[in-house]
Amino acid sequence: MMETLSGLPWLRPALDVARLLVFAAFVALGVAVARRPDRGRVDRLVAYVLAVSLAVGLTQVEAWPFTNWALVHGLAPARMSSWEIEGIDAAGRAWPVDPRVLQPLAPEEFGSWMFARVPRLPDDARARVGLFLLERAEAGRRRLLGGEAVGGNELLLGPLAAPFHFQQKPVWQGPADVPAAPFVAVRVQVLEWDVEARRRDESAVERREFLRYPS
Amino acid sequence: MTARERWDGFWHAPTPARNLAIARILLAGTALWMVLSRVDLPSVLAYPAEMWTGVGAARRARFFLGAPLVGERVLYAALHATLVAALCGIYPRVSCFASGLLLYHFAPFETIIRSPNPYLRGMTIPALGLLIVSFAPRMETWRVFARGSQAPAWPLRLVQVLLCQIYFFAGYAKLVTSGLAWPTVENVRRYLLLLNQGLSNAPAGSLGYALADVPWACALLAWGGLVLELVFPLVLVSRAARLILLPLAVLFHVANGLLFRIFFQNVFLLLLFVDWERRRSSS
Repeated sequence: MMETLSGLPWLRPALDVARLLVFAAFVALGVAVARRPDRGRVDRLVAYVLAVSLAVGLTQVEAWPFTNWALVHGLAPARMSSWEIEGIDAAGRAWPVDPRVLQPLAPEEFGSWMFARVPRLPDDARARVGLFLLERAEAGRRRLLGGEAVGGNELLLGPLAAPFHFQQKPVWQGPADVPAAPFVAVRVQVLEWDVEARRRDESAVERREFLRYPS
Repeated sequence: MTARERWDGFWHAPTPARNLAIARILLAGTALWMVLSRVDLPSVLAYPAEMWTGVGAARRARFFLGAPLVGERVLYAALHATLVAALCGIYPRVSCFASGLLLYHFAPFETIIRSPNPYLRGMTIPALGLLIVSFAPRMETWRVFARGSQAPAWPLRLVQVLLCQIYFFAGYAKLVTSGLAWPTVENVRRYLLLLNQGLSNAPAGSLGYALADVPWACALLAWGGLVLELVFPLVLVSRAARLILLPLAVLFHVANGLLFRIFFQNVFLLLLFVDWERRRSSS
């Protein structure tokens, strides 16, 4: 049924508009309370928030900012996949790139988008994504060597900045983690592994190239 | 007691205005921490156009997207200003209302290339909460240091209910999606392994790996976490539950961070359940 519904081209935009109306109704009920805070209006606002938030939670269909709050709710897979960016210097040596260079975007957001969309992109569009990654990696390399924060999120609060929901350990710890000369190319590697096999042997990870720029 | 009396007792009973003032500060402070930690969030608009191809016109309309980057940066600066004003109680109704609307606009920037549902990124409860407190009567009179002043409880209650839903629906989603196969040693052990493998540079030395080999600890994490999530709403109606569940919730988040590498940006909002008037009186 979900497959059939997802095939309807008008459904997703219609749901976006419906969700905007759900939010607009919340604001309208709230403004009515602010203008004349009688008990009936307050009760209507409270009942509306309860009804919408419970409906969203119980159906697990989001209407953000009313949301479903699901987290690691599926069964953990036996096989796992991830990705990493590698910058390549003029000598052809590959260096892991810290995903903080993508900030303010979180790595998991970029990764989810990349796996879903990049395989369907034409060559010129893939090249633009590759160029973006190369520019980001190079800018991050320069910031690290210059003693600045690698990612933009820490510019104001430094280590007190709120981390992303999934806390990735920094890939770059110091200047030794990047080359002195600029990156001339970049590639994205897909990493795949069996969870139990990697528990026994950390190197049990299969790698394949997903994207390279310049190709 | 009739259902109507119960309803009125829960939503319309007076609460110390100090609690509402502190709620406003907690919501604005949390949101300000988040926006100061996402320094140039509008710059996502300047990412390659390919990354925005999945964001259609209706979705842009839903979150009022469409202004040029410079305009979004001005609005983002305005959000900082309104949050500081909300935090300090300057024109609190206007600043809370504007902050809530601007958070509704900007929070999706964190995920929109993938999803229009930016929950668990720290801005959802502040967005709703600041709007809710902005609707409250006489919020200009809420003072942190004024004793004895009372105000209707419903704005605080409503934010507390929304906060409880985070826990309850996280547990509910596990049961609906995976059933009783979720709280098993095998499943939690695998999560401990894969999250540390995916997020840590040296998973073999992680606490998650250490615990993954201890079946009783995995069972405790599975069942303890799930039960905590499902019973957490009791804090709404029971002081005893608050005394037990709030410290457990803090422990739960610390454990999630250390073992699963999952951070909960709204952890300070647990202070919304503290009765600050009672604490001040007893001290």
